[in-house]
Amino acid sequence: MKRYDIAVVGGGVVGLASAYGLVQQQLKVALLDESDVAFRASRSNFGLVWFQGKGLGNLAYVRLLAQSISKWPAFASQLRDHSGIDPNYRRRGGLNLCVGEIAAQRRRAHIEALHRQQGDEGYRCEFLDRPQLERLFHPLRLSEEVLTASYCEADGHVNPLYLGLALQKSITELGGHYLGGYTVRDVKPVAGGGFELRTDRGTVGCERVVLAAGLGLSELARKVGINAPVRPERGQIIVTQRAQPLFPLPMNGFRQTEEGSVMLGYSKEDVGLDDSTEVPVLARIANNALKAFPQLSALRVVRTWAGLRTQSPDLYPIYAASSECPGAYALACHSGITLTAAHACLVPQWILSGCMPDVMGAFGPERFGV
Amino acid sequence: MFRYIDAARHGARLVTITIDGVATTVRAGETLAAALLQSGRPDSRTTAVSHQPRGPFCMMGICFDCLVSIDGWPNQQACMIRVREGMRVERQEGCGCIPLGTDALPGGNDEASL
Repeated sequence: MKRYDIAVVGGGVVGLASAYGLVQQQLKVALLDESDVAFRASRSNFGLVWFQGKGLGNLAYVRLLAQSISKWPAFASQLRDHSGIDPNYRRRGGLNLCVGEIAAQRRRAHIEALHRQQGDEGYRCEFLDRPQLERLFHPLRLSEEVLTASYCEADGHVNPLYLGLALQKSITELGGHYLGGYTVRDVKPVAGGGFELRTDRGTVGCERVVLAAGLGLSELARKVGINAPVRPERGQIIVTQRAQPLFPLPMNGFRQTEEGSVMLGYSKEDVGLDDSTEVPVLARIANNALKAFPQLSALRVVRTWAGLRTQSPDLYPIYAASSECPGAYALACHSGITLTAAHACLVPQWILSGCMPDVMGAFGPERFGV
Repeated sequence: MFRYIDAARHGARLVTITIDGVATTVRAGETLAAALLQSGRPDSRTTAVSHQPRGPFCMMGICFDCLVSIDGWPNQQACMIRVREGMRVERQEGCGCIPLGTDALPGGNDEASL
């Protein structure tokens, strides 16, 4: 039986970031990944590394996001050095476009409330007026209905596929073990310490186990006495043909990749484990895009897809250490791309010291009751 | 590399298109991809990321390697469009540039599309 100091279960961006951090601590680390039948939110997301507008009513989350964003530049450059792959992290700020007067009023009230909550912490937003936006987007024309946009310098974007690939390659380069197709069916605590993981490719032994299995987390976490309720939330995306640079910055629902593809989003749907696309939803996304940028009608759509977000009941992350089975941990979150830099740093601190870093402390599963 | 067989050439009506600004006489009714192939320079575009040359390959609308700009509109499949008198064709460098001077949708090729 293969044996490791730490086994990370889940090859998405949460598990990858954790394993990447852990493998730098001179530990024998294995990353157990399911096969491509998995619902991989890490490969079906918009690629935003995003701060603005998030966390109203939850200052702890604002702090966690701010910490991750502050770590992202150094994290991205270190990741590139380790893997030779550039994840295309660009932080030039981001915009939330307000189409129509009602949207503008709502956005102003939302950002003001966030600023009051934050005080001097984190990053702040400012509002750009119509002439500023016209100059920024020229020669792309904004519809008359775009009145303003909130801008935050902390926001940026990344290529989530390169990010995952760079993490996976770095883990291997740094001496970690990537075990593909090792779908974990059961987690068993062993008398005297450690765990045995029953997988589709045999049993794997480990001293400690980090469960980061996305939508598969609830079931695995239960086996080590952790209540980690997660549910799928579907989002649909339109991808167009590549074009010349059109967007100076990433936006809510608009992003242009380094290679020129335009991504249009998004939807939030409660449909269970169904990652198919539906024309009425895609039509709404396309129409909303044209309401802001009429000239996008010239772009041909080349594909559409849907992904399933991993959402907890209150939409905030879950960080849990098992009291029933010491040495077992569970992590799940939406916004896993934004939180990657934090996870790579905080998860090893947490697991090696046995003490959860303060910034993660508000996200225990106790809040969901038993 | 490519040339007409004599029987096909005989009696064909001809139209003039421009390819990268050069007036070129081609047979009416043939596809733009066929016209490119017999023009002596069969490449039609370079790829968006690695800038490798590509040219018409499948000739049936599947491979998307024959993308060109027609009358200013990028990413047109040359194998799926018939030549038309006065058609302005440009080989496409990397990803295409959509025209931002107008909100009009690409048109004019519809009747010629295969």
